[in-house]
Amino acid sequence: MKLLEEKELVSYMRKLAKGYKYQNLYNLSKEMKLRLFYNDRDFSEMQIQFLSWLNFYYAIKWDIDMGDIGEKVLENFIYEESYIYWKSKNKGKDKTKNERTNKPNNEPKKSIQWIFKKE
Amino acid sequence: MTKKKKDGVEEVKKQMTDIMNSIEVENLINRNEVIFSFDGSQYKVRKPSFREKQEAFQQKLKKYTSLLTDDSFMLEEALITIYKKKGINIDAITEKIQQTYTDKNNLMLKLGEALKDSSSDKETETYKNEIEGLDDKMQLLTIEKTNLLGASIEHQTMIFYFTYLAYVSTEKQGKKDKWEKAWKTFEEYENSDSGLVDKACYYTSLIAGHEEPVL
Repeated sequence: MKLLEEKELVSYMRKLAKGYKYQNLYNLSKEMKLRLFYNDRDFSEMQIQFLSWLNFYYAIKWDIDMGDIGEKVLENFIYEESYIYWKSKNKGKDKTKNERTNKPNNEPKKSIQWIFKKE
Repeated sequence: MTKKKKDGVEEVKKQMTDIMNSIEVENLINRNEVIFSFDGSQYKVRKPSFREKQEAFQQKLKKYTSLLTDDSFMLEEALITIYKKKGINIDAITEKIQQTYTDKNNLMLKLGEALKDSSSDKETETYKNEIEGLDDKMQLLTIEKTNLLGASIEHQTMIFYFTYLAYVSTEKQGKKDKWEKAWKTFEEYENSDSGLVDKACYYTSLIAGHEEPVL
């Protein structure tokens, strides 16, 4: 693999987390015992970050399905982050269907700060 | 080749690279390891074990103590005071970063609300562009601050910790495809090709992330 910039790497992680395959696996893992990674404990920082993105997209897609927000929110990363940020700051003010059903709404850490970057 | 065809080939190439990178990132997340070639040999960087992290932490403590007794190195606080005397205000840079972060959050709230209210594309696009501008500003300020404080004892020991972790968690494919420690001693590691060390450190920081114990 060529050395990716931090931004590129996070972008690939987010695209994977947003995609059908991992969203489906994540959804199923709530109902049945499924392993998302080769290891099932002692997760690395990167895996925790990925799980956090899975949860982030799960929350957005849930809201889209519930009709709380339009699909436009998925057009770019800034829209996605802004919506989730707005939602986290408006808890209780404008109860969405998502919150009424106690669905998760965790904002992931913005990024991992890699110590060594591509030159 | 016509321009149209050339553009088409470039686009396919880009898509292929994109797919390959995506597969590699997926593999990295799933397995917590990266295999790469360097100078005709295969190397593997894997997630360090608890024992290896403990070892790296012990070495970090030693490094920290040795830098403390070395007059040519300074703690971050002392470095900030010296910069101030020379007219460089690190605290002001930190404040600027925080202010930019607050400005960005305020814009994100507006954009989030605009998306929720199904506002026009023009409005949401304007907010997006402004947020991107603030992101760039924040990145430049952060780089400036990191560069200024790069010489501090805290920063140097953090770098040392990841450098040491790379040493203990990098393996080389030997005879009969068996993976063995890439370097026998830390000295051998320090004297090896910097390109290889850079790669090992980069991958280690990806895999180990923020798992650095706090001093």
